[in-house]
Amino acid sequence: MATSADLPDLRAEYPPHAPGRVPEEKSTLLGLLPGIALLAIVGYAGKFVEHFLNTYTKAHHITFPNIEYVLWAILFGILISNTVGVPRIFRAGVATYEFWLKAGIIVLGARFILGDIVKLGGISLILVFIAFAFSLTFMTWLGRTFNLGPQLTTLLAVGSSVCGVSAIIAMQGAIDADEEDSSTAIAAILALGALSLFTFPLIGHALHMSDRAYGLWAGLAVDNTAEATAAGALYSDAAGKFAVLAKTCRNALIGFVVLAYAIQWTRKGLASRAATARIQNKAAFLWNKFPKFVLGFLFISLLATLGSSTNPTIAALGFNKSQLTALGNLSRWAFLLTFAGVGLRTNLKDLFKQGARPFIVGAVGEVAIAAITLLLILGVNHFYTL
Amino acid sequence: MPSPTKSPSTPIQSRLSTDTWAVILSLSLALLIRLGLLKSVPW
Repeated sequence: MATSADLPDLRAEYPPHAPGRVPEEKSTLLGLLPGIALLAIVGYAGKFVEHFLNTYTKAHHITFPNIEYVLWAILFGILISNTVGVPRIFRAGVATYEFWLKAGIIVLGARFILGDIVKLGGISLILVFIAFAFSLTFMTWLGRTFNLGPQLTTLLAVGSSVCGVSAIIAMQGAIDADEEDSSTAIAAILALGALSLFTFPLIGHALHMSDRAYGLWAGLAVDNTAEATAAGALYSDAAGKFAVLAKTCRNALIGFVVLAYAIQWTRKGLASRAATARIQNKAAFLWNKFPKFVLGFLFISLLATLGSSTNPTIAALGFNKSQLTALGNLSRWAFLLTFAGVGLRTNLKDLFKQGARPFIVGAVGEVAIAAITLLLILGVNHFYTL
Repeated sequence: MPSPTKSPSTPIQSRLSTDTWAVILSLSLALLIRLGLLKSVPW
């Protein structure tokens, strides 16, 4: 059995129910199990309902849309979280949903050939830069207009332009933002992420978007990785795949953005001595902030690419077809735990009690970002069929 | 002086980030599949 000293403090890194709040007690390996079991039960209940409805409606010749397990798992989670609540014993394990998300993304690499990543990742990166420049500028202007503090404005701008909660947590240390500002920014991002789960698929269907175009849109416009993955998967399995790819491109920028802000705050004399010391070694800072799961994703993609080679010697180095299927199913199980966690983590009362102004700034900003990225995607789709 | 013993309820602490743990777990499972030790994963 693994010793507890070898394991990460998942709760400290990914605070679950009260965004930004530091957990009161430390986790143990044993302490994680009840929550992980709850994730599995809620997620599997979603899968069971999807299967049951499909079988029942087919047997009785009833026309009924296929509602994926993703939506059921999220809804069941939200229902539990906002009615009976999640008892303390489950919270540490429920917080591991981000861990399962990253594990799922890495294994999802098996469904990408490196050529596709370069091609689509290239388009995504160009769109990411345009959307990033727009959202950062717009959110900063909006924060100033609504008289939010500079730290809260920065956290909201970075959270909405790069990668949601992870970016806010990374930025918090770099600009010495206080706990309350981080908590507010995270709450705003999560509340809007929860709304996007229900609005994005509706808009995508109304506009008859292709899986690829919709997936890129979800990956570019939805801030938090878990919600972006879920918003994509709610549309279709393929859309979920492209949402992950676009979101991964955004995530890869996190180190550079946090470093740029940290340097700017230091130059202005706003950063503390500790924050200034942290950016002395820029390479170490970048490596520290870089999302390592992106490397795992690329490595698995490399093995999938080798396996698809027509040269038998090269193909033998990679995964064969049945191995790719097994890896694809593994990522589905990991996402099943993730989506249950997204629902269980969403406490509507907590999300909306953070005050109206940051939420309004976030909402106005997010709507503008969603609209601009949608126009970008539709524009690109016009010249280059996505 | 005797070294302190770790109880099962020792808080979870690590130098490795959650990202790194996710990479380790995923690559280990991928290796098991690649070596044929984990032949199929049902869905």
